[in-house]
Amino acid sequence: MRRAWCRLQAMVRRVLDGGARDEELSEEIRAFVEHDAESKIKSGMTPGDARRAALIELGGVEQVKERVREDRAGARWESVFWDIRYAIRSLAQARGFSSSVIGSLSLGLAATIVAFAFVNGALLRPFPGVRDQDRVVTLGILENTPLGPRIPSTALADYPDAFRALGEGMTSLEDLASFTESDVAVTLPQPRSLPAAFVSPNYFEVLGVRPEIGRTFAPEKGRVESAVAIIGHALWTREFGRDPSVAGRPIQVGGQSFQVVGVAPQGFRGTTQNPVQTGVELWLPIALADRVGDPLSFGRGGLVFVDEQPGERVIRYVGRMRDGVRPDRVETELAVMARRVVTPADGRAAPVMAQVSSLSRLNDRTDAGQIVAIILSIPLLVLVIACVNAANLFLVRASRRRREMVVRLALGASRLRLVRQLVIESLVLAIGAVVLALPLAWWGLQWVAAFMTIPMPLDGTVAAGALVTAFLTALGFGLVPALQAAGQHPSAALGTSPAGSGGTRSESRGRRALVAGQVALSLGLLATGFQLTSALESLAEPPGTAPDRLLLASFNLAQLRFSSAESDAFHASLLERISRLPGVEAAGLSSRNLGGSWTFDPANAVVLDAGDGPVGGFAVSGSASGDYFKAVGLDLVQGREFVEADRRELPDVAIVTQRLASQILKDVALGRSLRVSTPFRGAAKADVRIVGIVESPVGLSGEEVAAIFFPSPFPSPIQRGTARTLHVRSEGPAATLAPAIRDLVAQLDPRVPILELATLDQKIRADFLQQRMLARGAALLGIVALLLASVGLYGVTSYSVAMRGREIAVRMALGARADIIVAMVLRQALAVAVIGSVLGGLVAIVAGLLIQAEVFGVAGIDVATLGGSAVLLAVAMLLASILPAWRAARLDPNAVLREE
Amino acid sequence: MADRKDVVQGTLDLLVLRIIAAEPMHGWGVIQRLRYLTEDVFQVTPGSLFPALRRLEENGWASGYWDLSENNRKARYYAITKAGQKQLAREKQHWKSITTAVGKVLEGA
Repeated sequence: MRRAWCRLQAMVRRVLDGGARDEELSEEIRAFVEHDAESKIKSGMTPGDARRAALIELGGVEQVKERVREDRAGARWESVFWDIRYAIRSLAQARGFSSSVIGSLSLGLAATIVAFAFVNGALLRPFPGVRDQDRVVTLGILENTPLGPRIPSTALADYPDAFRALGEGMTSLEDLASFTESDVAVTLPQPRSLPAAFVSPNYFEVLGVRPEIGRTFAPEKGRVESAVAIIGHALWTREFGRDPSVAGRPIQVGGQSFQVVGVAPQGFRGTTQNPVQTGVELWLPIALADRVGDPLSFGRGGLVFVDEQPGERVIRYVGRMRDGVRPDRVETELAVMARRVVTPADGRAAPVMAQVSSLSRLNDRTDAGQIVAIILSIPLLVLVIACVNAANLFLVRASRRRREMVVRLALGASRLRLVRQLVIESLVLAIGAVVLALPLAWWGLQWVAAFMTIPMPLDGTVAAGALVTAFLTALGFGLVPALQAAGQHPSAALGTSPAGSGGTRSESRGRRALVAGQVALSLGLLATGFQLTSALESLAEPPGTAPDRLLLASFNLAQLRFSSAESDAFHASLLERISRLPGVEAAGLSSRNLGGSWTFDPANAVVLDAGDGPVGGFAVSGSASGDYFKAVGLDLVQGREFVEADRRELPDVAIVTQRLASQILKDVALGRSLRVSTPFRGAAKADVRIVGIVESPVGLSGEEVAAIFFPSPFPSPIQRGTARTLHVRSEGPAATLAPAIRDLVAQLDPRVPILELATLDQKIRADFLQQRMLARGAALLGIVALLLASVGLYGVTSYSVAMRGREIAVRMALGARADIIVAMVLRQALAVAVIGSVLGGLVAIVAGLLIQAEVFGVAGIDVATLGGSAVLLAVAMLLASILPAWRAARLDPNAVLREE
Repeated sequence: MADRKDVVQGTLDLLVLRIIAAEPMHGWGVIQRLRYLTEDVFQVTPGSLFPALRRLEENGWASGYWDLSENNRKARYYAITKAGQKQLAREKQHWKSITTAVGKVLEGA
């Protein structure tokens, strides 16, 4: 113990005054030699001989010192410390080298860290707050219908029995919870429409979610009838300023009073979120689903659609598997149970499918490996490229430091020591790269978070992964050059030129090919990203609509249990007041939201039958009241617009677009009758007379849309008649009208939330956020690739200059001018760049054609962006090669040739 | 190298400790003394001696100081410390038990 303490003290002392101790040792050894020589003189040697003999016996002052150093307590650690100090000092001197290596590595590392964080957050633990996510499964019962898979709805009256039967039948589960989701109107006191989940009392316990404050629904056994609510952490923060006394307070939901009993933990947003949605903000007892929820909302099931009638809900199930149970066993069990639970409301027995998936997506072993491989492959590729570039730069540096290495070898440093020194240098660089990469990755994640709501924290796991990766990377790019540098023999290397040890021809060709590949990759990515970005920007400007002058505001009064007459009255007075606002050109209401573009979706499709042959087909439908057509910019071509007297429960008049007129009605449309119905069960049928024809709106891919409009929404089991979007065409920028509209709505009814209030161009921007992010991501990756390619070209060119130092010196000695040398180096470097850019240009052209064809239906090449990317690339390549060329031109032939 | 070093190193440390236990001595003196005492069997090189001296010092068994040598030159002397004396006694005991044991085996065989 004491001994360890002594050694520790000695170590600390040495670190503190290492230089002085070293000096003392030299002096001691000198004294020793003198002593020895003196004794030899006494025994009869001449002073000169005696001194020589003493020195020979000693075996070299430095060698002895080195042995003492190596032997000392903690010598290994201490020398590592010195190596690190030395590495930092020498790297700080070679600023260009260090910053190139750190820069390119940090880009690669940052990309890898983002991918790690994604795998960690989105795949391993996509639902924060939920305990042991790999054991929690969602149980889906799907019906196959002609329109695609559908989650069957359950009559709320039957739900308790179905839930009990399922809970008892699923023996592979520890426990089962149920929930159903819809948006609710909450008054806080500002009216808001929030996504809510109506859950079974055991919901939070099954998921293992512990409330931040307050309690869950669990204490209330069985059917919870009391009006209690648990609010989400985000809602708590936003609206209540994290006030801990929120528990016990009342809030208004759907016009009724609920008592807040708890706050969900941070990050918990339910279990059905899709990465781009915000997730549930409020939890209410499932028994109250029919009292406050809007039953006829279109479900958030992604590709699965939801079809709810009053008194019915789509019930979803989530369960916790028993230990050791795999999801496929649950699925087998569910397949049996599903048939018993699903009782088709309309008597049609559709084929039922069972679908069980774990919350943690890595549990699906079939997909997991692939997903991880795909997500990690690109960042790892970037990292490997960065790594190879770094190795190239290291080789350049090694060739410059040959003498230093050789001198150190000659002075008694062991080869191992030198290798270690060089590996430590690469480790120091790698750590520098991590330090830089972490904020870069953080920034990257912020950027990803703009369109992904899954939290992807930079936690300890991710940071550890980053460090391990950096360590492996350092070994990867540091070891080979280190071994090469330390492998030389002192006597050989001190005398001879570096030529010949720079690798074989094929090695250098390999390096060039790699750089050319990087150039190709970066140009391809850059041009593709820029093409996509500019294409999406032009998308945001639909021709003719002046999207910044159109304001959209959506309402769904069903959330507040308005009767049809009440909502009609609300809409009418809203329209009337808004039309009188100064600056408003035209205002109209429609059950369609123009912001959703004119795409076809089953929710508002109608089936048309012109009576002359087979069914005419589907068409987009919507209601139109007020100056709707004027507001959205569709001019009346023939006939008339709707008047107040046209309003009926079941419409008997319609206005169609020119496209529909020509496509289905063969151009003789005005005055004709059509039979209209919807593809859903319980659909109404009506015969309507066409009273007007309007211009066709232009869809996303530039095609004209066939649409039909009615004075009030066509009764559909899916779209109840209360959802409306107000379309306001303004004289100036429409965004300025937003506060006035908010005020008007609040005056009419303070409980009514505006679901969405945005101008058309804001909405289009938001809608294409993901695509835009993707495009920017491609461009960003392109820039990263460009930086890497620049570093790569710089490295390879510098290396070749270093290897050809003697040749260049001879040329200069023979009279070659500096500009000739520069041209020579540039020619070689740019040849690589040109080959790469030709390849990259081809990639970009092909990608451009594909994107244009995919997104816009027409193929085309954006010459401007392609050219711009090429110019950017050329500048970067020139910068990367001009530096080594300039250095070559500034070689001092005397110095180089003397060194030989 | 490391495995052989352990034996030799341990022994060398013991011998050096024993020598400076008699009187404080400088490096050159230790080598001479060792040669004399072992009748030239142990010819320690400076490359082994200096690390050994450093080890003793850093373990707190010897303390070094600068002084004038017998022929009026500056030299670094090493003196045994209290801890060093204890260590020497321990090591002596240890050494004896080993040699006795080895001796028994060799004699007995």
